[in-house]
Amino acid sequence: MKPMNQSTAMIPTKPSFATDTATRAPRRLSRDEIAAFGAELDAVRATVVADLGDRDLAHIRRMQKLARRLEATGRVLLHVGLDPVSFVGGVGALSVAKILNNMEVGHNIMHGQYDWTGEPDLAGNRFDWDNVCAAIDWRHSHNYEHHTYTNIVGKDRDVGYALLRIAPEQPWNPTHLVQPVSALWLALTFQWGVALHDLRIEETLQGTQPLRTLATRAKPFLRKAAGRVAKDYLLFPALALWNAPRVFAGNLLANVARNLWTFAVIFCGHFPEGVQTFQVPEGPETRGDWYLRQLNGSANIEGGRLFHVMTGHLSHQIEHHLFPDVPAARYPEMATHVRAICAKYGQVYNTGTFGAQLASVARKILRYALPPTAQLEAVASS
Amino acid sequence: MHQAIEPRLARLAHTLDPWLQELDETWSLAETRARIVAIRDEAEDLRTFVLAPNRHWRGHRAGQFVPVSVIVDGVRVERCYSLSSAPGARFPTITVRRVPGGRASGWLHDRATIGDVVRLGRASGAFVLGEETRQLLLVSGGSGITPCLSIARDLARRGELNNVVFVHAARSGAATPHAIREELEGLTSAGIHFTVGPLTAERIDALVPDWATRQTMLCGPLPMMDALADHWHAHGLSDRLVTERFAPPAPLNRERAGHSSESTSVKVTLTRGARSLMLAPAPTLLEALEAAGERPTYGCRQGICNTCRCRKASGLVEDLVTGRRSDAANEDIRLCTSRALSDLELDLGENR
Repeated sequence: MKPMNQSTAMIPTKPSFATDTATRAPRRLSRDEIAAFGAELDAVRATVVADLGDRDLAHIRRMQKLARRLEATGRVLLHVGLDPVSFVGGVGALSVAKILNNMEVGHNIMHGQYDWTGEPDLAGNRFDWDNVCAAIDWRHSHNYEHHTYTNIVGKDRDVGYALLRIAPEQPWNPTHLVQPVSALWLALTFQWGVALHDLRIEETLQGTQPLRTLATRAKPFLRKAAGRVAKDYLLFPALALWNAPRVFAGNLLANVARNLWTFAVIFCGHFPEGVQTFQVPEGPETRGDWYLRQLNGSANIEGGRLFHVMTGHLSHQIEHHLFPDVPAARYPEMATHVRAICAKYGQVYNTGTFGAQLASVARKILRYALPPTAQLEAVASS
Repeated sequence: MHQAIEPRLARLAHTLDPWLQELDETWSLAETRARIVAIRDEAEDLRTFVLAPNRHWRGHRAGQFVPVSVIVDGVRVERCYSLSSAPGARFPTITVRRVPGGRASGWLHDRATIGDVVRLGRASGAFVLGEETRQLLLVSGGSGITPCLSIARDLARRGELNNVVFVHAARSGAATPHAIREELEGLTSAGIHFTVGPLTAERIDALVPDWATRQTMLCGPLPMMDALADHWHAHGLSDRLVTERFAPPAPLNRERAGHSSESTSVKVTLTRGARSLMLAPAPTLLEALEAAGERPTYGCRQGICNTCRCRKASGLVEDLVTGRRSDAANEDIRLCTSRALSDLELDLGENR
């Protein structure tokens, strides 16, 4: 596996406090080193897996309970309140509830992180979340495609979500000129973008996917989205009687807030500068190779305990990609070991503050909006 | 444990149960849950738990067992325990012997307290009374006393215990459940014999001279059961003997036979569709199933994406990535990283 975008390291970028590690190239490892690197990460995993127990189950139960109670609080405030303060409080509580439900609870359970508990309601392949993306679609596009083929251009459809150009290897087309605007639109409507992602609409537009296939693919999404839309925009407003417009607006704002937050967190996971993209591997990939690709294809965000929980621990995107089925609340303790192993093998551990990683993503979206030649000219003229 | 409930009810339960359980942990729209309301020490390593089940409990017949699941170190563990109460009891009881190293029985003996909530399945089992209840001989050893106790209590309730003989063998004086003995002696004037040490055919002859004329129900440790069953068989009376065996559910045939596990085929029963297939040796279960013509759903084939996870109803498998062995009933496994170490029962789900 050859990293493809080492050229990015040569494109001058404004110095920033985020990228002092990100612009440094990782050391090339020998086959033996890659195997040893993989073995050390396996050992980190084994230690935590052996230690899983009551407190991990208690954590996810606590998060579920918190999300449930916040949702109830938010909805009650929106339904019975008349003043702007309870409106803001209601939207806030419902937004946080939706964020917890999607990230710390839903995303993590659907990875199978709590399958070891044997609890039927925590089974990854049966769980569903408060999101218009159907769970079955998510498990395919995310758990399988994205986590297996992370950052392989042409295989991992999460590279730019078939909409944005965030790596030089993606062929440029004129729609990319407006990608700063399309990225903002995607941020506002993120759950819909994620839900539509697995339908491969762009392939039907290009003529490579028959309309009938699209119709089959769309079924779980249509069913799921209809249910969610009916709940947030018909049922609950109707129940609120005279308060219907307030509840409608509150639910809309909570969904948008959740969209913006998840977009920001997820874009910081794979798109900051220094994160590598890859070609389709030529031969079979060993576990060590896979670990290395996950490490080089992911970036972390620094923050406190509350911040990590609110991101569903995707602020530890690196650990999540190395150990996708280990309970995410364990990532902070695993990160210490992962960082030490990276340092030992001369590998870059890409991390930065939320602001720095976001700015880094924004710069990339702007830079790759331009076609490669114009991009080079822009660099030359600066 | 998983009862066939309507998918719609299951969805409703998924939404409403957490709210119901904020009020009372036993409340559920779909699950049978029970609160432990009393705990009695019967003898060394033998405890009785008195349960107050919710309205989903459908009762049991005397001699049946019930799947009980508890959370041990964050993991839900399900085991079957014989009910020791008479049918129709408002508070059914299970009497549990501590199994050395046992997770569920260890938790019940060391950690369970009054007020804890356990989940129950539906009572089942064929070790139940037939037509003939008058001339009955109940023989039990160790924790095998529980189904026999349920039967005796049922007969006492119906006033039919007077011609019944009850023989129980404990491994030591400390292991003898004295309170149960006194209760039985108070219920009937017929023979109640509590002994210590292995129960042999000669001992039965001495305690119950008319054993051959009786319908006998036998439950206890395997060596005792085997020895006594031979005795009945030798007298051509096997049809007068009903037994209940508490044996490990998964026959570890390869390991027992000393074969290397790579060289033997295993039989896999697919519970959905009720079919069986022989699987040739293969590195993983996924490959073995595919070689046998099955088409289980899969994704990454390397233990990342969880697409091929399915329910193993019984049998022993080893996860090649984690090295963990799964031998309990009703555990989920990943086909792409698991290897079969015994015959299996699998539920491949809808997307086969």
